[in-house]
Amino acid sequence: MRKILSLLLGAVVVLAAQSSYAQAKGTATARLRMARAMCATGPCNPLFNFRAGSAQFKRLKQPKPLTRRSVGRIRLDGVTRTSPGGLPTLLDGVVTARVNFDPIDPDGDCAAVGSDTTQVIATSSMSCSQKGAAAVSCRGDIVLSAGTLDDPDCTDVQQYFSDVVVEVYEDGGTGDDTKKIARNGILMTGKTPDCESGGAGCP
Amino acid sequence: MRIVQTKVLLGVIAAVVVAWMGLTPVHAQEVATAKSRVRMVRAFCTTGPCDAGFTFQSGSAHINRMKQPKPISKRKLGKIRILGLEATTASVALPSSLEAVVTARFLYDTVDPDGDCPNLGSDSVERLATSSMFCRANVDGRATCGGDLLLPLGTFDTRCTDVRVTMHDLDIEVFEFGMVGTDSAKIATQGISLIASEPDCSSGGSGCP
Repeated sequence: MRKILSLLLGAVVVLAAQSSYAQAKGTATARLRMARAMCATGPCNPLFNFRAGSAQFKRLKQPKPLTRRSVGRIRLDGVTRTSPGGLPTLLDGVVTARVNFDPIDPDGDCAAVGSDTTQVIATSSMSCSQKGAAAVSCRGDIVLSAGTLDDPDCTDVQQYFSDVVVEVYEDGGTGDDTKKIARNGILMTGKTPDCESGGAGCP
Repeated sequence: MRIVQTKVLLGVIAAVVVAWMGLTPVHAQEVATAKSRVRMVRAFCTTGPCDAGFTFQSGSAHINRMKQPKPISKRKLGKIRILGLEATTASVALPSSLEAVVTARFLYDTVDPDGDCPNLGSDSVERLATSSMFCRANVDGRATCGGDLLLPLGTFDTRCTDVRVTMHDLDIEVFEFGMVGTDSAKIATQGISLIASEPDCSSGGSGCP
């Protein structure tokens, strides 16, 4: 009787703790846009430009990521070269994020419980195909890296990825700013003349 | 005969111009980025949720395509919403409004056709938009909160509408109303959440390999 009572009490405590911490649904598909990667003095990689790009992340649900490692797709369209030379056949995509594990693990065996780290969570090997005479379109699956969502002890622990940064580099140039072509963000193009000089559409 | 010669000459000039343009270094992405759709997750500080008082089911922020010179007069940047907001303890009342803030790293291009933009070539982290989110209670005892993301007045200078601006490191955060910047009142931030499934795969959870 005492055992049953303590089990019931334990269940109530776990349920109460979960309801106070857990977001009830996994996030739906997110779509981030890619802008030309800018370093302090201008484009990080002056050799390549592109027309548009996006990174799409699917809804994630445990325990699927243990076996199905593709979590989304990334693409860069209209990749051109700004000086004479060849166009790329491959690009590298890298996704970095801050990973937070919930502090609650029902069976207490997840080593990462309550942790807070920033790490590479996924990569992409993007293959490029010719689009017109002087441009290629590049795309690939976003695949989870080793060490991300691959611990079977932690599939019962809620996880959050924030500060998500998506970057695209020339093939083999990951981590080198001068090879960085794109990064998630917003680009606002300019329109000449400016509003101070009577530009069209200005108030 | 003269017309034909003129046409040929114009054709040659056009071909030379196109070839020259193709070889000229282009330092600019040609099209403004399209609408972005990001998802909101519970904000975590190092030891757990930043605001232990509230949780929610889902949320999203939409950021529209930005095209000059519209941001000078039209302040709406997009929309943000939080669905299924609930208090984690019964004694806490649901809020009637929340506040959202979007910050970004602004990088102004180094080229200004008329040379009068004071931000030319600058690199700074600034507030891009804010939102006063109105909340309404649902029958299930939770609340739905939403609002427009608005550019603060004077975000973009009229002298800079001819200059390209790139915004990286977008940070979207939702706070209890009047508590912007206070970690313990931060309810949501942009990100991806992954729902747990019990029991875990070490204990024979369903769907495990």
